[in-house]
Amino acid sequence: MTPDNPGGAPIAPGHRGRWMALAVALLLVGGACLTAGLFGSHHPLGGPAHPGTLGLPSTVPVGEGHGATLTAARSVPTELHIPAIGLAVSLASLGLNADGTVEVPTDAARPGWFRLGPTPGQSGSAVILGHVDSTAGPAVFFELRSLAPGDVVDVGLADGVTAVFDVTSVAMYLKADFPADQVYGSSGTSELQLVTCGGTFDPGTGHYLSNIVVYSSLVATIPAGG
Amino acid sequence: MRANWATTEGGGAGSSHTGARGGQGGSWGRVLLGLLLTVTVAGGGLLVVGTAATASAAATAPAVTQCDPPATPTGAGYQVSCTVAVVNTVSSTGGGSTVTTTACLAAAGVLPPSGCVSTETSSDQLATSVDQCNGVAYGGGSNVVCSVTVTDDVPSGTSIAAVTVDQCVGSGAEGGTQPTLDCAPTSSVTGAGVTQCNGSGNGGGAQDRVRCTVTGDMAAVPVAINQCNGSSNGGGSTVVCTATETNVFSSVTPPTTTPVTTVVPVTTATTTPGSTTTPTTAPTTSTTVVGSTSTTLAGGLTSVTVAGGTSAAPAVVPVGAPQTGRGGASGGRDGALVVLGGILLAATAVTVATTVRRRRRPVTDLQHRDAG
Repeated sequence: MTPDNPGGAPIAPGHRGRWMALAVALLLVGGACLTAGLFGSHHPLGGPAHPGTLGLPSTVPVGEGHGATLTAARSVPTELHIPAIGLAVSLASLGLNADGTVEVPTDAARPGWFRLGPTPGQSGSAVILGHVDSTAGPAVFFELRSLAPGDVVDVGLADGVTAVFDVTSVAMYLKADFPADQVYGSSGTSELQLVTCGGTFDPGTGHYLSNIVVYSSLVATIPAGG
Repeated sequence: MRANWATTEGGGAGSSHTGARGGQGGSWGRVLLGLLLTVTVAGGGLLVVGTAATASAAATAPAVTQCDPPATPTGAGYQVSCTVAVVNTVSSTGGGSTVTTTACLAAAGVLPPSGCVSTETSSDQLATSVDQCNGVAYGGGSNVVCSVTVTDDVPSGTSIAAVTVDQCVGSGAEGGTQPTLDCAPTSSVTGAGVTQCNGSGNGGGAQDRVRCTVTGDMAAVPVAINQCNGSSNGGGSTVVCTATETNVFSSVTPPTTTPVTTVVPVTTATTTPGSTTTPTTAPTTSTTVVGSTSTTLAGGLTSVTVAGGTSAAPAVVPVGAPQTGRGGASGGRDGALVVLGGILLAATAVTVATTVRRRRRPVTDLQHRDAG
């Protein structure tokens, strides 16, 4: 016999089972939603914002780009300005690790220039690398993937000259297929490549599976004090 | 030193010859004379061979010299801007160097790339010295801006030596706005590895008109740098010179292992079993740009001259892909799902609490009845 329960519905064993079943269902669905909401997506940096450039030839042939005959004297780059993403930052210097891979910046807020290659403005490919994020959140090159052809990249050099580059393309490569010779090699013109990570994040390794490369060509040099 | 020694030796031979000519003319005397002549001729021949060998070695061991008189003027009102970038590479198979130079000469205030001529030289010998911008543009109103960067790419474990400095001695004197010197470090070591900015920027002029720095206090491959001495005097001139030494320690590349096996970066290493075969360094390539000329020099050197700019092939192409992210922005949190999940979990808690309360209530009611 079920006792009276003036404050609620009668408590029958069948009812208690239904209530518990409901609780379990809510627990499962709620937990699933919370898990999916917090950890369900690991690829927000899905590559360039302009997919039309993805996979296209990434360098301008000699004689076709603005920078075919432009060069600047060798001078260490000190500052990087990219107005399209509101970036203005000083530059570090990067060399090689013992295994032959390129050093990456120790400061997530500061990109670095690969000093064993040309300086920006010299004939050849200058390369600047920066982090897309750190463990704490977005880093200096987080917005790099949103650049588009025609965007301006200014590099201040130690001799006071500013080398002005125009973005020609933005590409994303799986790290397993990273085209080092294309990124670091020379096509005879003055080029600047900006490199960061992107694509899918692999929580198992703690790294992204891809790199994003912004290709740009020298279009002008501004003398010191100009 | 060898030239002086040769001169002395020649004099000795002459003296011996003179002494023999004044002898008694006997058979022993003629034998002695013959021996002396033989020794003299043989010694002279050895000296000639030795001198030639030294000259040959000098031709293949790059000693960089530019922007010195007479090619660069000593007069007034010049802008002398010269750079030298040396990359010395040492591997288990030997060594080599790539030297990129830029020499710019224009009227004072006319900055590069105006009047610039650049060269790039590759050699199978290490560069040993750089000499530039000495004794130039000292007529007043000139600017001498010169720099040397040395990158030593050497195997891990290579010993390094301290870079000694002798700079800014006897410079920035004879009036002008004080202070006239901005030099770092302040050092004057006799026979230093870097000797620069001594006896320069004198004759009055602006504040900090002599600005010279040396960066990098250790070198794996010592390169003697001698620049900006006795230059840009005469009043109203400036001297800005820098020397930078960088050491890059790379893993040794065994010459007999072809190709070299290098473990790819962590990301790919964990997703692709095994290792990827990749050369640790790409061969140095020389690029000729529009309007350039390429010449082959003695000793297998190749020089590329570019009008109005510089040509720089990458000294090293890194292997693998850079790891420039740590995932802190990769969470991709879905706010709606998080809120829904939270609501559902709260509803779960309410449901459980309600169920438990209703299971306990009858007991309480019975206790109340018994008490009544």
